[in-house]
Amino acid sequence: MERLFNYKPMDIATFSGGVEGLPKGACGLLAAVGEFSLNALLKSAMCLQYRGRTGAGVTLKGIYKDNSFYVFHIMYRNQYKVAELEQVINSWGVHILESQDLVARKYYYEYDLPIIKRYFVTPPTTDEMMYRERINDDYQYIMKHVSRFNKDFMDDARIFSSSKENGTFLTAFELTDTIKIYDLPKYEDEYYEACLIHLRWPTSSGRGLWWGPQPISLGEIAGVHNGHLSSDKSNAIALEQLGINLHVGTDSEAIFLQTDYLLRKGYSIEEIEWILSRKFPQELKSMDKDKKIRYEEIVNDPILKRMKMSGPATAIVLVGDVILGFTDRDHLRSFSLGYNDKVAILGSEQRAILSAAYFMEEELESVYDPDAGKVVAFKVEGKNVKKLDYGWKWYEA
Amino acid sequence: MKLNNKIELRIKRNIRYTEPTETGIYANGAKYWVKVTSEEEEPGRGCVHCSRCVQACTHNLKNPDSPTGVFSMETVYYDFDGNRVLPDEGDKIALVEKILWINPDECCNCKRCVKMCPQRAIKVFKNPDYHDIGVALSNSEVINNCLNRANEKSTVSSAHLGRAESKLNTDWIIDAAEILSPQRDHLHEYAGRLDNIHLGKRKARYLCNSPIFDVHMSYGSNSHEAFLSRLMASIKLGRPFFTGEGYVHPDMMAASRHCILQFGSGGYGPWLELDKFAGISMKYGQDAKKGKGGHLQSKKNDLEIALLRCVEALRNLTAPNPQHLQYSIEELPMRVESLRALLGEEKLIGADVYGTAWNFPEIAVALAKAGFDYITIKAGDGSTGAAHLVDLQNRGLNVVYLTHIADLALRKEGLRENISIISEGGVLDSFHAFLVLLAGADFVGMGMRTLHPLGCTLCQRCHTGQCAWGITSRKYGSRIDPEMGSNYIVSMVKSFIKDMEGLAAGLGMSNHSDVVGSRRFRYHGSDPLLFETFGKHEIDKQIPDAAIKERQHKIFKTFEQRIYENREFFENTLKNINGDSLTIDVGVDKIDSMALNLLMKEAVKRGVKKFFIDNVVGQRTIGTGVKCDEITVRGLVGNHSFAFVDNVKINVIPNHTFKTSIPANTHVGVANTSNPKEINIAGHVSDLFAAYAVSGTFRVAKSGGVRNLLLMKAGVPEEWRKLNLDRYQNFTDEEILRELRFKYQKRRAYLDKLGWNKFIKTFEEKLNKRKPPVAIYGLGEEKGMGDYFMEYAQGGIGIVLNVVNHEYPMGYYICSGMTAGAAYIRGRIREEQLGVGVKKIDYLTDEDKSFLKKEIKDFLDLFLFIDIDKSYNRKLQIFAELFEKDPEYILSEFCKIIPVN
Repeated sequence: MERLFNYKPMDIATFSGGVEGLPKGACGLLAAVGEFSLNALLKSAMCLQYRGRTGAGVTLKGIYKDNSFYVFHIMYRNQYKVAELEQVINSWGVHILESQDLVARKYYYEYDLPIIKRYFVTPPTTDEMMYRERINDDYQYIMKHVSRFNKDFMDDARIFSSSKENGTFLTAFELTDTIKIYDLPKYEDEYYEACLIHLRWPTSSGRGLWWGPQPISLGEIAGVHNGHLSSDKSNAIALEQLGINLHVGTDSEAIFLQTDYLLRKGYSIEEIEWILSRKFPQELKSMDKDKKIRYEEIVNDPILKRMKMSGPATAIVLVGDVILGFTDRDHLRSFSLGYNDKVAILGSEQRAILSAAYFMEEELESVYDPDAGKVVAFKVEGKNVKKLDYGWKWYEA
Repeated sequence: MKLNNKIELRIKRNIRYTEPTETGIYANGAKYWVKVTSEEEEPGRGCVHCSRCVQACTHNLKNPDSPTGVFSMETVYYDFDGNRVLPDEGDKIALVEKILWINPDECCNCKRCVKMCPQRAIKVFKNPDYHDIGVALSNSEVINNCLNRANEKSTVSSAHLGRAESKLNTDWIIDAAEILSPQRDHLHEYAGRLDNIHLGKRKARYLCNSPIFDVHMSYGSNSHEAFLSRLMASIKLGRPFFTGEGYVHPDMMAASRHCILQFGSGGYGPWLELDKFAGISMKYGQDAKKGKGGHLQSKKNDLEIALLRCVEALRNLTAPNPQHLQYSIEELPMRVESLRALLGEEKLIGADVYGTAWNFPEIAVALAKAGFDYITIKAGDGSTGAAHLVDLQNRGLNVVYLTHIADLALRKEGLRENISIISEGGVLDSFHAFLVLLAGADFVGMGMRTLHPLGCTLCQRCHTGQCAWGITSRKYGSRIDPEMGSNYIVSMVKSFIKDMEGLAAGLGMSNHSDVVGSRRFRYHGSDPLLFETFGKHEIDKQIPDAAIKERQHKIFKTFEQRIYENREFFENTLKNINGDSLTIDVGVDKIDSMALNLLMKEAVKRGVKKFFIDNVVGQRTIGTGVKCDEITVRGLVGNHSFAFVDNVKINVIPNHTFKTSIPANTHVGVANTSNPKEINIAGHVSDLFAAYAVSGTFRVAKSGGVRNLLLMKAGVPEEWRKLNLDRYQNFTDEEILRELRFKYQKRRAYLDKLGWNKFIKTFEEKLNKRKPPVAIYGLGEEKGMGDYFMEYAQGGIGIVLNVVNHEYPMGYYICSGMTAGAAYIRGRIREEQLGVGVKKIDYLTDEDKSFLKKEIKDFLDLFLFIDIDKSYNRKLQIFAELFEKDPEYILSEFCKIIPVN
């Protein structure tokens, strides 16, 4: 009895950073591309908060578009290592133009926050990159180092945003807290062309709550995912054998990196669907002959074979200017979509999509739940959004 | 027998034990005791003297030729006064006594009698005289082991020793998905499916519908019917069939495209029609007898087996321990290159290895880097048809742990998705099989399990050839119906797969690749290696910094890439085709080995039958897989050239047209496993020349290196030349099965008509008709013949002319382990130079002489007209003149070396 009286609910501060006992569950996803209102979208995402518990994040595409720096958002869990780790970044040969506090000081009093800073970084010269790593592309160079940094200093720090144009904002709290801590409404009138929102109910055991929040972002890839993949080991091995390292280590990250790999390798949207979601054997019987040959060729490739998602998943992945949304073939998670010629909204539930449209005062042409295992894709360029057809490929565009 | 109706005939039944033949410490009988209950003891279940047990039992170690085993039936007739009378003294007979004699000393607990007894009157149980001795520390096993050895009993045993329970049985937690990702229902939806899997991950792939494989068991270790049942089961299940190292019976060649041949260190078989098979496995090891070659007891090497294996019949077939063509890791790629040239890149090349204690990761990686398509990991707890007890007793490493470390090592090297892993050894059921997949194997092999549906009860008498169930005894094979047997195997495997699919679905997984290497179950037992695999902590999802560039290594280049890289050379050369001949000027280094091989194949497609290949300096794999009539090479021939060639005439001649004269020498392993018309080499050959060669004539002007003519065979049976396999090319699986059934019915009808002994005699003529391969060496002045000449030779004939008159022309261990054939050597041989199991005869028969005369004449006709080098030319001239003048004198200098039985 005594124990019961003395019971105090564990506060989030005590809980954050623990490595064990993460609560299990689902997540809420919402994304928009095109021309839309950030505040309206954030407001509508609140209805998905019941799907989330600890951790929420937002990726805004286009907010850093007006320069060509890499913008790093870094959280330091170990406040005494900031200088040392900044030195590590300097040692890559990059030049840190400017560093800023990303979060107002008052929130450090209110929340148990890691130190969160923003850096504007320029890459080394091509000669220097070739000399150091035999890489002649600055994007590859930065990605390699960010990924390695996140792995090597997993207990101390994480670069959770490293794009030239996107900014990702994460906390281990609820969405309202995230909005407040990063003061997201201030971006309302600035330039942005896509937004991913994630409300997390953690399923992956990981290295503390600060490591799991999504969107998981690396370079121009950002993704949100809802579910826990039974294929996580298989997916991770596929990437491992391609030399693509997970830097956060969750099952979600693997499918984002897979999507990036497949798009850049020139697979069509339909082929990506085949690889990620696989068809039932019964479906193959009525498949067009040529397509079937191609299908067999692709899904029987030993590495692509391992990229299939098994188990529940809805994912929305942003790679460069392309956004893909998909579910697993068994449809163990909900996924909805609404769009018109101005904006496309993708999310876990129709409710969030319709309320977003309502707050934005948009009339959507079409609102529906895509079929199980189908990939839907949009491309956004300068706020112009276009639905991509099945045959679209990265390089043909 | 006439019976007098007036006398009431009484019948008495009796069950009696034979009297033991020995007393003393060694008199303990067999491990098992047999009891037959009488009608009085167990009414309704008593013996009715039907003799079914007499037919059933085949085991008789003490008297192998006896028609009976443990049981025999005797009928004794008595007259009215109780005197014994003969059965034809019908009018006197008043009492008939039927006696079932039991000799429990021969029982091995195979339980055939028990299962065949219509009354279930037979009980077999442990013999206390054998088992109830000793103390816990030194128990009956220890004591009987000593007694058996003291009594000079055979230490060979077979099957599975099974001294302790499997470590895989206990202390596991079956993980399953729950709320995070729901379990799936594999009975009603697409979940947990373990079908549609490829063996082989590069160009060579075999589509499988079963993750459970059979394992390599040879034709010979298995009876015709057991082998056929397993083959048919594999076809029905949609999986490849592993043939073991005994090749495939010609009757079963309709199914060749489902068969993966095994090249054991004995290299048995005709090695023909190789393009019809699904692939070749290199057997580097077998878990049940680590570090030992295969072993077929002489009693199992009957005439038909010898015909198929191209060896001499009724001799012990002991394959050497090492695979001589690959002594080390760096020789693996060479072997793969040779097999790839032979089979093309669409066929599988595998490596069967056992799990070594310390360096297994390195071995797995080496095999992957050499270009094999799959590795079969043979872990501990495996079985065999014959091995010494001490080998069987060594359990070795666990299949799960070995798979785990091989998988991690291959992932680290970035080659995991380049190669398939099959793991086997001690996999007892579907749960074990699933564990193996979780630990990282693509497929799991179950060998013994495949034999249980055919009747195997693990009586450990495979090596005796007396298997009562007909699995490992050829004579009793017809106790198995291949159709029914295969159906039972199929049902068992399908049931196992269903279990595994259930476990996968329970984990929320949907297909095979989700399962492989996911390491989801947990182990909490005391075995440190299993704890390492599944217990300690969750294994990291990714191995950091996998060496992904390895996959782009030049060894993995496709034929297309190689042809493209050499397209100019190809075009320029192929322009010069003249009718059916083509000259290829290799120009020392203008083209590499594999490309040269591909160029020859391209030329064959365009009608070329005769090749002249000039300025060759060490190019490998020349001629392998090239279907042509004649190849002439000018220059130095590289490793593994002319391997597996079939029906080709090959000449290698020196090139004196340059400043640097290029001798007509060869590197290692030339002409291995070949069936040429003739191969003539006007120079020295190196090690392992014509090793495993099956037929043909091999002439070498000068000397050979070490282990020349290793395991040379006894010739190709004619029927292999008559097979028309093209008609099976487009057969469906159903048609193949029908063909197999049809061929078997024919065989069975013939067998039933003749009985086993006469049936097997019919192969004698075919055996005698074989023309054994002949190899003849002139010897050079520079050196004599290398050591281990004709080691393990199995019917071929070697001749050393010694034209340069070395006093001691030979190395050591001459003809060691030879089982058949002969060597004719001109010159002196010290007794200690002779190998094990052979003797030297110093005189030749007339038959020998006329044979030698012809061979010497052919040799001289050929090499006298080739400019080899001045000194040799002169010596050969002198030899020829002497031979011309006084052949008998030359022949008198020969001795003959033959095996001692």
